Amino acid sequence: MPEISVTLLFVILAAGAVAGCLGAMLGIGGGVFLIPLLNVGLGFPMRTASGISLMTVIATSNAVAASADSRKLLNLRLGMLLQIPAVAGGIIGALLVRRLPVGTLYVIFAAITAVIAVVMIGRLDRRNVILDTSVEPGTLGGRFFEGESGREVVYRVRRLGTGLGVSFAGGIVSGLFGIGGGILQVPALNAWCGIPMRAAAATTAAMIGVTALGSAPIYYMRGHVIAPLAAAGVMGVLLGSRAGLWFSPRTNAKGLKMLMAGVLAAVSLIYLYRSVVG
Amino acid sequence: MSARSLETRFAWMGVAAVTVSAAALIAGLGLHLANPDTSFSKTLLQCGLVLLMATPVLRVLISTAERVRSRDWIFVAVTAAVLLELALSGWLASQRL
Repeated sequence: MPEISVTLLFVILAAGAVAGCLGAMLGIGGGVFLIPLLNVGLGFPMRTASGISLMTVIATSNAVAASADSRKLLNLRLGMLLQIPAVAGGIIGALLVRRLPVGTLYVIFAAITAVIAVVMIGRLDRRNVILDTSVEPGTLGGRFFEGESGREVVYRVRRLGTGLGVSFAGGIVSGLFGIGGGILQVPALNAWCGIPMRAAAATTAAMIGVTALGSAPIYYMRGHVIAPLAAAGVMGVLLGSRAGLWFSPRTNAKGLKMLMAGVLAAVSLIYLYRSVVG
Repeated sequence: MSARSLETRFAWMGVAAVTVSAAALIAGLGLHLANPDTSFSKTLLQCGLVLLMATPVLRVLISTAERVRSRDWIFVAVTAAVLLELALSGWLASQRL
């Protein structure tokens, strides 16, 4: 565990800003960037990195949920329904993290992120939207105005069971690693459940704070959340997420998908490497 | 009660909670940098983090209350289930499991 210095606090603040910006753009919370930096880069124990990351995930989610741009895309009914399995997964993940070998966790996580990256690359040009705006979106679907195409987008939710299952898995990953479950939920909701990328990202980003709360209190009471470091990370994330929300509507959907696939591939390689070197 | 008013109230409370939490964390971090040994800075940082964690609970509570008013019982049941899970998480944390 490195000594807490002014320099270290500013490094974590800067890392939080970058993580928050990318997290808000991609709906994955930002924890995915902080974990390797804190754990591999700065030498913090995995559980401490996870505890700090959980706080930044909650901060990003709070900021996204409070933004007016995000509310136009947020599907609250669907998001809250997905929280039932997601929070349950978060609790199970937090309880499991003490029992599973770390190397096994890294291998599983590397495999999951690699698969999702491949899925995203394979679906770069798929739209998953109904362009006939007279069609009813159903109980859990939604509609929003897309500035990029200049028209209203309507979507229905398909394969709800798959969405619930992926949310459960995302919750477990959140509880195990302190990474927002959105890393699984956004591509799955987009690719398998027919939710447009921006709606999936906004809904997930607003809801991963609730998912993280399945495990955050457990990490907090175990002493894995070091207050000054968590505060520096959170402040950085809050600043960065504002920049991310500004960039998000100005980025085309295809570019957003490619960026996300690249992020997932990088995360996969990092964790695969960690599983080999221990 | 329309879905729009739900989202509006959701946002107002969320902004307030994020602002107060951020203020506590900034003040606590500033005091910690000035003098790491003060208990007041630790208290401020802990308060900021606890409020940060309380904010998503607040959002779920508001969603539940609004849907009770609009008699959307399916959504009430969904949010109540999420609240119960969060209560379980808090209990497990208090037991340091």
